[in-house]
Amino acid sequence: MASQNKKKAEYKNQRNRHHELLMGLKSTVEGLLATPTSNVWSTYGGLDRVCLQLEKIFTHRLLDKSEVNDFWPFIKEVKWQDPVLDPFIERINRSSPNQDGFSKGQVWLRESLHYHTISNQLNTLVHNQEILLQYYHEDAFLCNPKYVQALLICLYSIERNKVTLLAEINPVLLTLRSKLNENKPSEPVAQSAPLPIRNHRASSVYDGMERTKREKTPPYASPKRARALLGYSQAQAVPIPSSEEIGGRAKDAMRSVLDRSGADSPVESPPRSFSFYDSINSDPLLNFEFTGTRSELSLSTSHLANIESKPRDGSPPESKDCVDGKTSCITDKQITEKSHSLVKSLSLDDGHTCDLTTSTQEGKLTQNSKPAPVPANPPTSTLNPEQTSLHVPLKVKPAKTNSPKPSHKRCRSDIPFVKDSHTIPSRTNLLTTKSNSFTTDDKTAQNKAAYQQPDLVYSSKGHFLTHPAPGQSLMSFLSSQDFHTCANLDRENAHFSISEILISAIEQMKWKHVIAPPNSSDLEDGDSDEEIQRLKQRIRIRRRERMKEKARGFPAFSDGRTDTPSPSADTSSTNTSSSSSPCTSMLPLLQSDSSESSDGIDDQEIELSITDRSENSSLLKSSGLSLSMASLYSDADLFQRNMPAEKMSVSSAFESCNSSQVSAESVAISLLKKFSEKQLPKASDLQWMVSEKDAPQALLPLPNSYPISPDDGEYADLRNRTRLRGNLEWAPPRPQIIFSIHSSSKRSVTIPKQNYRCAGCGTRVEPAYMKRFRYCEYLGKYFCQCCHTNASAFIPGRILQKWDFSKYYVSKFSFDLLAKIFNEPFFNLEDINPVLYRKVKALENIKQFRQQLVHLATLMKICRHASTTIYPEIEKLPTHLMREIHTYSIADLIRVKNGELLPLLKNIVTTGISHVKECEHCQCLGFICELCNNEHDIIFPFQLSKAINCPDCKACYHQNCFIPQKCPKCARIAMRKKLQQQRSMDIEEEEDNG
Amino acid sequence: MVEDRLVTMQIWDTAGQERFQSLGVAFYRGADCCVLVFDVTAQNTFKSLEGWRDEFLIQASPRDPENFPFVVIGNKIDLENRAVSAKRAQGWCHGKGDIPYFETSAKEAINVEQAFQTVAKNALAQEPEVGMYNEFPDQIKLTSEQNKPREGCGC
Repeated sequence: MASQNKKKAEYKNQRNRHHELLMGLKSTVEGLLATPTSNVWSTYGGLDRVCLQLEKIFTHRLLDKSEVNDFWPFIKEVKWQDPVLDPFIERINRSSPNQDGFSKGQVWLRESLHYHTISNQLNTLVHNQEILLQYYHEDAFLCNPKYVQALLICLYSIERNKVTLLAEINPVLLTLRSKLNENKPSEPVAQSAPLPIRNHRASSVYDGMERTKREKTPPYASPKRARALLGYSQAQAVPIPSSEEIGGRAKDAMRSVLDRSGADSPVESPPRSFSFYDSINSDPLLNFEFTGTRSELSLSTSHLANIESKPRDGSPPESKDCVDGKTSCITDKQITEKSHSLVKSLSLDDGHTCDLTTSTQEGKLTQNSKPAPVPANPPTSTLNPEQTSLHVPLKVKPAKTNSPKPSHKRCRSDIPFVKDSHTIPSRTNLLTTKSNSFTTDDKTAQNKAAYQQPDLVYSSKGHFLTHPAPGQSLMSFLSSQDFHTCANLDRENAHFSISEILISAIEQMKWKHVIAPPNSSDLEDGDSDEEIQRLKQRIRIRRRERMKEKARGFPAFSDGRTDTPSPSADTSSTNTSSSSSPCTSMLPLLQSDSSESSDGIDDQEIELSITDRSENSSLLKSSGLSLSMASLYSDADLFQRNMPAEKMSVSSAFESCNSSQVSAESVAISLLKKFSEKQLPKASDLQWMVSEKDAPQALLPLPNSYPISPDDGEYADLRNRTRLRGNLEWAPPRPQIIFSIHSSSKRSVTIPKQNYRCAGCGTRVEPAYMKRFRYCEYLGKYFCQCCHTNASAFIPGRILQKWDFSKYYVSKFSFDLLAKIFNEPFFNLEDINPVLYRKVKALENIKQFRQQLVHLATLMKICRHASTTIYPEIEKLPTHLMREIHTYSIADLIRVKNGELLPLLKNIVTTGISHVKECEHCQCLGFICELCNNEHDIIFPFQLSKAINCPDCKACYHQNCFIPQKCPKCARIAMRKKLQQQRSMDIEEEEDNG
Repeated sequence: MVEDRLVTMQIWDTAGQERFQSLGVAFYRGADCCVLVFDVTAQNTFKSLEGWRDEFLIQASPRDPENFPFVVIGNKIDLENRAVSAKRAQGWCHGKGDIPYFETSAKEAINVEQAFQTVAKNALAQEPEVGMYNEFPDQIKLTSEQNKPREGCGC
């Protein structure tokens, strides 16, 4: 007993210590994130403080086998756990140990903090108990999963710059309550109103965690709230509500269930600890689901964060989990989308049905991320339900990827399905296995590319086509690709890739069925040439249609929205893919099951998606956020606000945000759907015409730090920088000729739209210093002080629209551009703003003189006398003045404004005319009106008031005489031509005869 | 000096005027003779003679279009690559009322003199009675040695 007490005391002690450490870190992080900045590390001293706290944690109860209390050896284990991180570790390992007097461990801390990779690494480390125990005492902070979880949450919140994530730290840890309490989550669940959740979302959310650069938490989520929310979202996953249970109980149960893991498969957990099933059955999920889906996104997101950060409690095969998580990440978007669309199509009231369908679909969906739950799951979670939730996404080990996954977490949306069919385990299993193969493959592929980067913004995540896994079906491959998140540029590129896929797929099919001798008789008879040809034809047609739709859908980009990826384009995507994907992806896997949805629907779906798209874009518009921005922060909010009824998965909100319904991949998929799966070559079998390797498309990284002063900023290499083609967040300004005036919008609106980046060089600005950015009147964007030196220039748009000749501040870029085009006659008043002619008298007069000048100039050039006296004057004028009478350069307009141009032209014209009057030669070059044949009235084209030129032959007539379309000279010319043709034919004949 | 009379020729060359479409041809009016020049090495210049002739007659609207003096000159006979045979040109001239036809080379100064002698002679023949007003040789053309008068010359 005594010893027990002692132990208890010790334990308490340690707990206190842990608590202390955690609180220390937490308060540091809170302080760090208190001021909203776009980069946490821009807060002075923040890095140091965090490092200090983390050091304390890392050294806590470190086994002393290392010399100086250095935790470096422990860290080094990362590279065995996660080979991908190896280079990073190696680099630090090799770096001189005493850089600034830091130990390697400290250096590692700083670096990984700075690059936001620490949570990833730590995650890897702490999940390996062996290693942990190798280096730490059992009661070390790092060995306490709950605290590690909290630690990870802190780190995540730093990495994602979300103070709200901290709310997800188990409050129990913060309050130092007894462990027992922890098991029974006592916080009141804020179930009711505000945050209705959709299951699909939630589930996908977790999965999607990794891929997110998203906002984890809803801004309003207080800690408790957040938790509750989480719980909800999870709860949602459970589709079928039965009203048996009593509210309180259900809540608790749900909560706990939810808490334990977003990812935890329902199957897994239910039997053991809190009656999962009970909760499922009993739960007011229905309400959740259908009531208002708004807050879900944020919720789920937060949940995700939570999940992510929760270390795995020694539960079984982590790696597998990880895999799952990842996979799910990949596909969850699709899933969500799918489910979304499904849900949409189904009546919302019937929650049950909806769910069912969705889940089914998902199950069918090939790769779908969510591996079905394996019934025989180890009941890991019993002890600490909260911590069990380990989706440790970051931790994926490629090697293990392919292994069968005993402990899958189930996607919530799957649950209903399971339930429904009652055959649950077996069926699901089947599905899972099937899907697993795909998933893993996908995963692997993706892993190669995207792996390991915690900070997904810069990571490769989905910016390129991943390579298809061997045996992956074309459909699943296509639908697994994440084209939506890419910047427009990438999306363009994706179009190439996809068309390539299409072409080669079709070609291969053609080869297989048409050209190559059929070696097996079982090939479908229907596949004769004809049929294929027909199909192809149809495909072509459809494709064209799609293209048209697409063209319609995307407004030209010329609106001056240069830099940021255009929201409109982006926005639309979500639904698109969602609509078409469900059936498509189903196709390959379970054709039999899903046949209903497969073929005919396609068109409808697309329509649907289009509407969706518009909805979305309007949403975005209303929110005034550019997409890239939205994807970073506020999609969740957006969607919550605006699409209450829609069940969008978070992931779709974020990631897919946005391929349009008519996105390339959905088009491709719908095309390929026309072929049966059997005919389609596997994605991996495609013969790529251009391999991705040959055309690396990695985007160059942007600077993610702030220049301290303008001078040592990126100015030096500014030129290089602007050669970047930009990425999701920023693109260099294009040299546009802008005719319009930018509607003035507030700095606080515009700069966020620019993602807090200087429009010129992409340098970030901390929101607090937003005021330092300078507005460029020409481009309508804000620039840093390097790119905007307060140069002022005339703004063409203002001149053209308002005849406003004041100079405005413009960026250097615009200044240079404007200087370059200063003399270029780019502005056709007639086209741009014909009202100006009425408004500005001088312009009207000038127009007349220019008309006269056009005609005079030729006379003056030909006339022996004038060509030496007057013509040189004319030649001095910009030539466009004599050509297109409506075109002006900025210089011209300024001269108009100054009153220079009018007198000048007037002078030239009058002298020219008076010369013509005097000059015999010129008189002889005048016209005699053929219609009235008045020999004594020699007319000239420049006599605007009385003469008129035939538009075709330019013969000059009296205005009164001339009848349009009845020019006698034109008639003669036509007749002659005819005659000549005839004659030449005759002559040829004669010659032939002769 | 044509037939003992001193003649001043004013020669207007419209060459290339078709490029300046908005230039009129007021000088057609009052012309005494029209010299149509084509390039013997370029078929099309010969073919468009017809058009030029029509155009002239219309613009100038002479009192007696049928008998208005034309002279046709086939230029550039110094070149090897003839495309229009003398016979064909002569045939065309004959068809238009026996227009005198000369083959010249401005470069080699072949036949230019003769051609313009003929121009002057025919022009004078048009206005015998006006011949009295020698002092005021209105619109009578003085020639330098210009051999590419009116249109058609392809060069």
